Amino acid sequence: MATTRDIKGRIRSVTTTKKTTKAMNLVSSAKMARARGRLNAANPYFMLTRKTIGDIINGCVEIISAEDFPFFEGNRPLKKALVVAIANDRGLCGGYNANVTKKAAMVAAELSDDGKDVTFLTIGNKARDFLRRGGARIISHYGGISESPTVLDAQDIVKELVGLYEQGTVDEIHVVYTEFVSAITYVPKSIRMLPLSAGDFPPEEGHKAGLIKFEPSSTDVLTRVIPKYLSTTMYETLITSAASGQGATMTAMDSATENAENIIDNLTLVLNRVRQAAITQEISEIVGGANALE
Amino acid sequence: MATKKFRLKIVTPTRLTVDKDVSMVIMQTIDGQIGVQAGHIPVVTVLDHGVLRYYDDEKIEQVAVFGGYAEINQKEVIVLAETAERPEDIDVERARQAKERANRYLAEQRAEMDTMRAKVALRKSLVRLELSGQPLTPDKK
Repeated sequence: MATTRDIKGRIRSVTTTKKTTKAMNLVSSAKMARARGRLNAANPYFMLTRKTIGDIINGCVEIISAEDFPFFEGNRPLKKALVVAIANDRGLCGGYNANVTKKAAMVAAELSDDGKDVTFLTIGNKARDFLRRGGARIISHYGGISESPTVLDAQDIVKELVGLYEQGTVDEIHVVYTEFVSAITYVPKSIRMLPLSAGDFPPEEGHKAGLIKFEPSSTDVLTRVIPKYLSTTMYETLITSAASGQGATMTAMDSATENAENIIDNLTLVLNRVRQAAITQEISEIVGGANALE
Repeated sequence: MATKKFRLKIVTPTRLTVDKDVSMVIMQTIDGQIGVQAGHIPVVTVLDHGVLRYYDDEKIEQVAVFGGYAEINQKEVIVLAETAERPEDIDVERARQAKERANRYLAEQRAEMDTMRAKVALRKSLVRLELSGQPLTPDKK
């Protein structure tokens, strides 16, 4: 039977753990608030970019063929696929990393069912660790940016992706990320970044895709604007992943704190019971001893 | 006579810089300046680093726009830029130092990559100085 000293020791240790998880909860909630602020600030930009690119693509699919502009679908058969998986750099965030990598593996499985050769590019150390354990081929990795990604990070990644695409190392690029819904909810999602197709940008209801003029020329505009669009998309997936990753950490640490509290309550109960039992025993021993003397 | 107005939106990944009704916009495209009034035909154009001016009745306001493109449609003009700065955002001293640094780099004739970067830096610093209303000393070639 546990002595009061053992139980006191355990209570102390759980209390320290609780302090740690509580602190981590506060830290990640501050980080999440920041990421969320940046996400909100960038939201009009994301929305208008999508709208504008939709207008541009719908306005020029008829004049520019995929042979002239390799970013469009139909330029070549899609045989080699790249899956970009975005997760956290660290654990302690509940099922977050597992959920993202599971989604990435699912996307990859679908692609390889279609007879495509699938490789990965990972962002966040946990994405790399999880996928490597599953035997995935990872051709490139970015660590240390998941927590607070910048526009420059997104541009660097897109530069590499566009390079891979243009060299023909990969024919299509999918990005798996999590969409930030609220502090406690996120949805793992996947989008196809390249090649682009007009079907990805359905024209708005009642909005006719009018003829658009391009200055100086349609190819000039496309070659300059599409990389910007890709960077924007990358930045959006990074920042919404960052916010949901921090949200997941926050929730995980919150429930860890709660668990610690429960354990402390239970241990305190046991401690009192043990102490009482010890006192009762002592009294009965004294009484027994006194009786024996008579 | 009040001219017809249209919506101008200038957005960057960090904020919505401008969102208001204006009567005319003049912007710096990679092919030269264009002026836009209400009823312009739909155009998509790539912008150079430069000062964008817009006319709100009699008032003229200016914003420096870097690395952007613009969509002009029937209802509005949308400018999507990497960064956009108002005159009050600009650190004149920093811009001037950047200009001098870029000029020094160019004078030293380094590798091509550096020269290109220095040219962009020079261009950006000149735009910032122009916007802040600083006199531009003619730069030595």
